Amino acid sequence: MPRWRWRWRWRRGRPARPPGARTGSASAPAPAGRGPRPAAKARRPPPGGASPRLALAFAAAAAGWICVLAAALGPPLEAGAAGREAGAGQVVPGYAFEFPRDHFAHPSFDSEWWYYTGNLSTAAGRHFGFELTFFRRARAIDAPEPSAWDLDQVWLAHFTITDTLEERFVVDERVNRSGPGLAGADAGKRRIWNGNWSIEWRPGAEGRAGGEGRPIQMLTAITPDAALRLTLKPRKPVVVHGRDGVSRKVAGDPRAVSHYFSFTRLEAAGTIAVAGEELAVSGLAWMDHEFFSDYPMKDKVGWDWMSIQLEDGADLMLFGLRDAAGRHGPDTTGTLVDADGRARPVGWGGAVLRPGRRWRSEATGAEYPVAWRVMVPAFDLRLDVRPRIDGQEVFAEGGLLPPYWEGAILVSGERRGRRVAGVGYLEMTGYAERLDIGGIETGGRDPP
Amino acid sequence: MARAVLLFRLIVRPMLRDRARAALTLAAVALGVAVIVAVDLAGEASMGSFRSSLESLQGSASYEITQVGGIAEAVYGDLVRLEEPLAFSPRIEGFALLPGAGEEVALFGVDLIGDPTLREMGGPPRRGASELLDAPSVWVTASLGISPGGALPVVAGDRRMDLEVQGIIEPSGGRAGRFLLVDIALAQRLLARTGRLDRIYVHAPPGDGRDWSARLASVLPPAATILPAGTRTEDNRRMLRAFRWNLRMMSYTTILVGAFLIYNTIAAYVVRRRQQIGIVRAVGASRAMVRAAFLIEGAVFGAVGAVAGLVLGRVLAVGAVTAVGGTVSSLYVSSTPGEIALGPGTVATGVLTGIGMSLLSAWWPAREAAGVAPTEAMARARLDYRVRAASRRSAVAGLALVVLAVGCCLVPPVDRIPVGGYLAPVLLAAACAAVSPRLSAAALGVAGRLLAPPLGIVASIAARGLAASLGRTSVIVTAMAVATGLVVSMGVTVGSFRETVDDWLRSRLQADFYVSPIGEGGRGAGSTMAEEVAARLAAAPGVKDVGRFRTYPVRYGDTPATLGLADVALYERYSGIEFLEGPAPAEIWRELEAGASVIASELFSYRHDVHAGDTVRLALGAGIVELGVAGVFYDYSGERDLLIGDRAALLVHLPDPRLSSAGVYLAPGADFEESHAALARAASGRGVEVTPTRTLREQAIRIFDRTFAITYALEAIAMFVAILGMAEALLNLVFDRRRELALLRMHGASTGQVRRLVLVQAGLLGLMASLMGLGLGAASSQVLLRVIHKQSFGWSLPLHWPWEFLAAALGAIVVASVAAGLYPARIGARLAPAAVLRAE
Amino acid sequence: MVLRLRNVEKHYAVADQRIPALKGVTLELGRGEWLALVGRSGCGKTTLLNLAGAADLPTSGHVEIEGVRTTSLDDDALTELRRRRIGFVFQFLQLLPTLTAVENVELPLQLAGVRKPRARAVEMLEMVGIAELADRHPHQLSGGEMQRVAIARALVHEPSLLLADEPTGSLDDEAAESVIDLLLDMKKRLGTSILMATHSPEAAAASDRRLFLRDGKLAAEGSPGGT
Repeated sequence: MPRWRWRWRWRRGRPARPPGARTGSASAPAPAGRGPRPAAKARRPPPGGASPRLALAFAAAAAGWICVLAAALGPPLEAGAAGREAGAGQVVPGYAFEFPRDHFAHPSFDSEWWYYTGNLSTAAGRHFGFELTFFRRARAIDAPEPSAWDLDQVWLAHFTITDTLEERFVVDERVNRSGPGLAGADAGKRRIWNGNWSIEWRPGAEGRAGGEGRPIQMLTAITPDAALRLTLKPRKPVVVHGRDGVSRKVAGDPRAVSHYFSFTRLEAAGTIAVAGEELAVSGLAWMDHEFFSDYPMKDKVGWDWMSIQLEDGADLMLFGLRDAAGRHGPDTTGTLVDADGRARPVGWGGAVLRPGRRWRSEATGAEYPVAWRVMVPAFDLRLDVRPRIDGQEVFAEGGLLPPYWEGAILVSGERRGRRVAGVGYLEMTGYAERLDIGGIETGGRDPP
Repeated sequence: MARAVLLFRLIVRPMLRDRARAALTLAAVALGVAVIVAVDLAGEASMGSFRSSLESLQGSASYEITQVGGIAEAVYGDLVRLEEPLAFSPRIEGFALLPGAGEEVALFGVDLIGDPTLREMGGPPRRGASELLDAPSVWVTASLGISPGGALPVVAGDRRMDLEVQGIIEPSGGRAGRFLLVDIALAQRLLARTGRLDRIYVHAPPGDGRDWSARLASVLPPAATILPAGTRTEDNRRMLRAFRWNLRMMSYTTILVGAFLIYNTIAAYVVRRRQQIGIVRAVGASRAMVRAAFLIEGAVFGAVGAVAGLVLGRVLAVGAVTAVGGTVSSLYVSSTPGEIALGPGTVATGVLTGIGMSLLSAWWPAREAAGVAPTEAMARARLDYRVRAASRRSAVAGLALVVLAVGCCLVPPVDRIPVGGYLAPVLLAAACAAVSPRLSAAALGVAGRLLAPPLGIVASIAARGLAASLGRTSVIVTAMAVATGLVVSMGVTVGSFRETVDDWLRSRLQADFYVSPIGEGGRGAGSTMAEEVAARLAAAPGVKDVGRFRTYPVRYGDTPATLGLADVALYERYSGIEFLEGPAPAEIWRELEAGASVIASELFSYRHDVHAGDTVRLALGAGIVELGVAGVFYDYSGERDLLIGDRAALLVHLPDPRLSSAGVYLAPGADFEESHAALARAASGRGVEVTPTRTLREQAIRIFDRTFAITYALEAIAMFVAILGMAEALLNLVFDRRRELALLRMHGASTGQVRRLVLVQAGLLGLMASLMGLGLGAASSQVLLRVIHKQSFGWSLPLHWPWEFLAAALGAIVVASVAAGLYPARIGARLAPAAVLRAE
Repeated sequence: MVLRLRNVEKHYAVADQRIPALKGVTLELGRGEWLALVGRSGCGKTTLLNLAGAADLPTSGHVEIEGVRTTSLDDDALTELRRRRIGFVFQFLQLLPTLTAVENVELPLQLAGVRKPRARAVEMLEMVGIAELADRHPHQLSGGEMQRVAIARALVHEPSLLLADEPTGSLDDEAAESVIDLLLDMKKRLGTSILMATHSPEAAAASDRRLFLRDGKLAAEGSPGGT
């Protein structure tokens, strides 16, 4: 049967909005990446030298995602809008984390995500990488008759498989409103899901790996092209990034903050199916969970972030926000987690991320530095980062988010003079498309 | 080669020279092909309409899930979490009235945020979608002609809303249909279906051959139905198939009439040019060559006519689409005509039918021509046909054909297509052709004697002239009789139907007013109104009772049906339902009130072979409900299977109290106008309309007439072709008998007398055709009513003779015949007698 | 004079050319006179007969029948003239095949609106000697019999002028002779004037007067021209 192809002609110009819905404010990114935007302020150089020792955090990632998510899913909920308390959803120092409660949703915050990546291999040594990410975005709505289909919470998810042997990269994107059970995070059922992509927490008692503090997590993601079923056992307890429960994103910007924590070393086992083939796999995975309300971006165009699991048992998370000139400046930071689970922050500018070989995406024309030299002098750590395969750009036709590169990596180098190797994941944003969002004033790379 | 040239010079060229007759014949073939093409195109286009709207939004779905009363939306959440590589698309489907245009269009609610298949189909961009959905956004198909950017007021059920037109959706393949697309949340609100979904499409991975129904059923309530996607379109197709077949069969009548014409034309040439054929044979042309010449002649007529017919058919299709679309809408499902696409199939059908029919009708004259002996070159040209009415033998053949036709009527339908029923009228027409020479001879004998006294020698010469060329006369009489038979049989059938429907409307529509959501057409289950409307109406002064009614589309077996929920106590008192099966009516009603029974329409009973006392299992609400069939009733409300049960009792299964319509019964002595005004006040602002029953009945009859408009058009065209044939036959007659006409003139006949002679012949032909057509039509109408209609639709219709219509039609045919004689008469009268005689 | 032709010319338009059929013919026919028009086929005999029978009009000159100029009459009046004054006999195929002998004879009377024509027609058939064949159809008659029916029909309404175009042309000698005898007989009994076209000198022998027509012109009376 021939499939109908619809041509959708969209009205030009700014969409009409219902009365009562907010139209954005100075403190929030402008809505969707279409229609006129607030006039860009005059370009200015990055605030070089401004408070280089501000708190660590993977602010770049966070900040970037905030904006992109906001762009994709609409304006954030205005404080005081119907259904939410005024002043709710603010990141505060000293936030008392409580698990398993904080593993689930924090709907009063504008944005939230659960982020799983990992390196897996079959018994025969065939390598696969995966990414499974759930995003939540709260929106202000004006619904006189409440409906399950209201757009007060919109959920986005990404799922990728890197098939190193076949040099294949499978990407899928999924968007849903909460709807009648389409997507959500349910503490009672210990489940976070978007359609049939889900994370389920086994009750702590079953989690032999470590009880309530180290819950076993089951990942499931099914698409017509690929499937992933993994059981994840934490080898280390949750690590809360930043200081005092607050993760800072940009040096010198007290508003760029989030609550952010990770399982940095998850023992993964399960099956992976690609190209009609189902294989038993095992390996290491990483989990991030972060929630926050919106804050303005400044002069950044994107960021570079990586998670590394070393053979000696240490785990490292690093990132740097990048300005239009491609410099991180003082805004690099991260966390080192020792084999025993002790976390040590990397101070502002404490990491040097030096881009190496570049790879050009045929799909978007973007050029990504897929190899890096990483140095953290404070820990006497030098690492070379190289991708498992070059083509790991996350790009969905008609997708919600701008293209980014997120892929499995191999690392090798020296720590305290001893050779060390490891695996990890690398994320690079802002290369394909300038993050053309209110709050970011930049003359970054133009889209091809 | 030289002989072929001679053949061409002597045989073909004279035929081509005779432009008037060639043109008439071509016109007949062209019209015949045009009608076939137009009906085919119109059928396809009107089918295409609902197919395009639904199927284009259905994408690559493999299954569709439905449930009577809607699917609880929580079920949808369970579905999407199934750990299988399936994608799902929820749908809300309804209708909205555009008050500006006064048009009712389909309104679809889809998940504009999450439905991955919309993206596959090139759906709306994701970015910014949720923004747009904060407003009551609507997308419209291009054919609606609404430009984006403005507000679009719509009325859906009893709700009104101003939507914001965000854009145009338009499939690249065309055939968008006319509908509105909104987000599912808005659709639920507009159509009052919060918490429910009308349909869920299931998309399996491409190339996946697995059967997912069991897996799907595991998370669905038992009452949900899982069907292969496109079943509804298939249902509609199946439902429409009988209708289309009937239409198609009718469209072939014209070419049949045209075939007689081609036969006549070529036969006349053969007769006229016998001597020349003899000459060609004498100089060495073979029989095969002569036969081929005439067959080629026929093929040329066929091919040229067919090509002209294709063009004409494409033009006629525009009108036919409207007519057929009207029929489909009023009888079956709401549909907006799709695009007319002249596909290779239609072209092939038209051209092949045109050429095939032409070859077939050229076959016998060609054979006769091939049979001309070379010696006939010397012989004086025979001025008449061999009347090959070996009369007795053809009479026997005629009788045998009639018997065969009766036999055909007893053949059961094949897949609901009454094959035997279609064959029977064809056989009857053949029988007509077989006995036509004999009947015509007898009729002309009588006519000659009867007409001579009042009209003088002219009439008698006219009658004898016709009798003398019986071969030709009987053919044209048969052709006209076939066309007349079509008119008569359709007249009788439609007349009977109309009468029946009118009676039925009178007995069934007992309420004084009917109240329904604005814009609710004759289509049945669709828009609903709040139950409190009924209460408000009941409180209006002068109102005695208000009967509430709700319809649900259900499935029984493999086919769709309609379940009606009525207030049985009132229904018993007022509905005027008559039962054709079951115990005493009172008993049936009591049984209904008890709640475990329904009554079935005749159609339902016929199609499913379900009778009073049987039980039916229906998926209702959350589960499967078993209901007894208390009785079977007559119903002509449309082409649908209808079950009716007690509203109060069945609300247990279908707890949605909204209404499809309500009947208002006034207290005795209440003032009609005052009550009307009071009701209108009571209902105002509720999105419903109060229609006096008389108006409703008139509307119904108007819809009925619109339904059959296309059949009238087809009859008229067939008749027109027959009249063309008449004109041609008379022209032939005048040409062949011009020597006699000249002699008459020499012996003192005035031009007026000659003209009268031809006109009398025309009138006689028309009269004979009318009478024979009446016979043929009467017999065919029996076949139509008792076999074709019953087998393809399941209606039983009592026979009503529409006398006025028949008298008018037959009168018109005679008058038209005489009119067709005007030109030949003028030609005859204009012949210069001296010139004709000298030329001989 | 029953018939008078004055300088009659007749042309036919064939394709773009005008073909002259008669080139200035003048003749007179007295009451009760039998005039034979002799000539080869194609010389204009039939044309002349048609003009004389008011079945056609001359291109120039004029034709008077019983003192009435045909050119002064409209079609209806010409028809009326034929009905009352003129009878036609042709060489062949002149009976309506669908009518019986007696019906063929009745035809002119019926066309003229005469009531109860049967008796007169039967009388006429008796006169031509084939009353017993009255109810036969033409195809049941011999050539001579057909010609007798034709003569009966031509004379049934007692025309003053009988126009005969090769009346014996398709008959054998015996039948031809009897037809000539019949015409003589009829002329005597009814006093009809006869204008007969023939190519046969034998047929012309019985006439009172002979005119020779050649290339559309009358040749000297009594001289057979190039025959």
